[in-house]
Amino acid sequence: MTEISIPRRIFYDEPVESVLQQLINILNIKKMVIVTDKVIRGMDFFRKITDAVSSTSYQVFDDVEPEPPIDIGDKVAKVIKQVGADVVIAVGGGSVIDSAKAGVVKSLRPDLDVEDIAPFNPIGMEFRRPIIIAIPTTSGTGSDASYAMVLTKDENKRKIKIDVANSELVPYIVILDPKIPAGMPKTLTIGTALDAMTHAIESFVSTNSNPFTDALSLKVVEGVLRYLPIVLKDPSNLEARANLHIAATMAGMAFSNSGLGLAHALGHPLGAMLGLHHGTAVGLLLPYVIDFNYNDSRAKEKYDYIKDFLELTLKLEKKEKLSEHIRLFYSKIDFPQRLRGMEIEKNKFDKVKKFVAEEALHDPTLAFNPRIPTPEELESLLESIY
Amino acid sequence: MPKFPSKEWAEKFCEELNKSETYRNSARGWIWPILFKVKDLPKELKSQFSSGSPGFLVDLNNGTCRGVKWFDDSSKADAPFVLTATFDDWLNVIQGKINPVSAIVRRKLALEKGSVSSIMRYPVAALEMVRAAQRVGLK
Repeated sequence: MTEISIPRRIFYDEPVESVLQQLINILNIKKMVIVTDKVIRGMDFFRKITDAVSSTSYQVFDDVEPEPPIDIGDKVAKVIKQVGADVVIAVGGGSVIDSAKAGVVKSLRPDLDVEDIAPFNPIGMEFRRPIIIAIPTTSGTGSDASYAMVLTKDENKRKIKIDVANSELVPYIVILDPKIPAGMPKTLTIGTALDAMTHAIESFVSTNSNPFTDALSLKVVEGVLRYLPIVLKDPSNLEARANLHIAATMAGMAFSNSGLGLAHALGHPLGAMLGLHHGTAVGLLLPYVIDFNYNDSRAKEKYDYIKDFLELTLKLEKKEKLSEHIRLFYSKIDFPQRLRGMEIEKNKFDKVKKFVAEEALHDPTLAFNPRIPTPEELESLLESIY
Repeated sequence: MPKFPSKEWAEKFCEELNKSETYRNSARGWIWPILFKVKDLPKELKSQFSSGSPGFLVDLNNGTCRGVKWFDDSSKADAPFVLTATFDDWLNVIQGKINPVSAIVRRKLALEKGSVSSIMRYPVAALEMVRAAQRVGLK
């Protein structure tokens, strides 16, 4: 059986408060829990959200921190049960949305160890409340549209990522309001957009790609190349912001149904070791990974397809390889193309290089990369990004 | 060249894994035996296996293959990881027509027991296992 899983409903062209008020009536929502973090709770748009749901009985859970621990699910579930919630609204990025997913799982299946969630084993969330409404606050992670959930646990004094997936974890509803990410600073706007673009390109060439994800991926790459420069020039341009916000969710729908690749496999440990924003790390790696994968004939064919598509839709000058377009785009948006341009010292990078390569070889996102590298090839690739 | 599936094929597969430096390095940390089950055999093999589903257990530990066990009836065997597929789908994986991890995600290879997340942490080892199988060959 081959399937794809995506959210049931996605609202994208209306203010979040208006959508929520309508949903409360349509779905007859009486009680809800809003999951978020303390920073977001203090923002103006969050107040608009709570105002919009004030006709219901709701409680805010704002104890989510980055890289949430595995027991976050029990904490959120406790509040869900106290409130008797029909709906859990997740307002935030990946950590918040994943905490909400874990909370709903534990509220419905307290007996289930989150680590035991497997892609093909029913959890028992379908056709049951609470449902999850995801309101992403950045335009990059795609976790609002994905069936993955990433939590952490401490093991031997190391933080281990628990990465599980199941189609029942896909949020039921997603609300995309471009006013919410409009407050992101320039670096975060670039980082999250490059994350979305990397999701899309890696999804497209993944050995597990399919016609559904291919269609989504193409539109995402076009959208990021078209709209990111506009947003950077005019951060208040809501139409361009909306397109980037939509692209991020579409990228989430794509990669969670096809897989990612080497830029993410390397980007995870590289970002963690050097303190780089995730989107910045994978964006930096992307053109190098494209060049590396280009030796694989199927990958070359697919990269060339994206290249031809971009040249046609964006009327770009013809180039030999997709990576040339990416590099030109980076120049256009002033994004550094090497680590040295990011104020990372060479000796610091040299110290972590071998570790990053080793970790990448065990990163689950490598599984669907078109070309599986050797440790030596990875070290050489890493050397070239400095 | 031993025929697939057979005890001889499984033993040769184990030998090939032990010859592979890539497997040795990439499977460090993998400590679980895997049971491979084959179903929907072609006519000529059906008569050999009355159970209709032979299989073999490969005892994998930290980058080495410590041995294999053959089962004419794989339903009588068990292991921490159990992978089942039709004869044709195994052939597709061994011939490199489908990536082994994609095959699991698309349920061409059914993971009856074990965690997908664990398998996905060993993508290099999974592909090297396919390469080892290719070196054994198919008859």
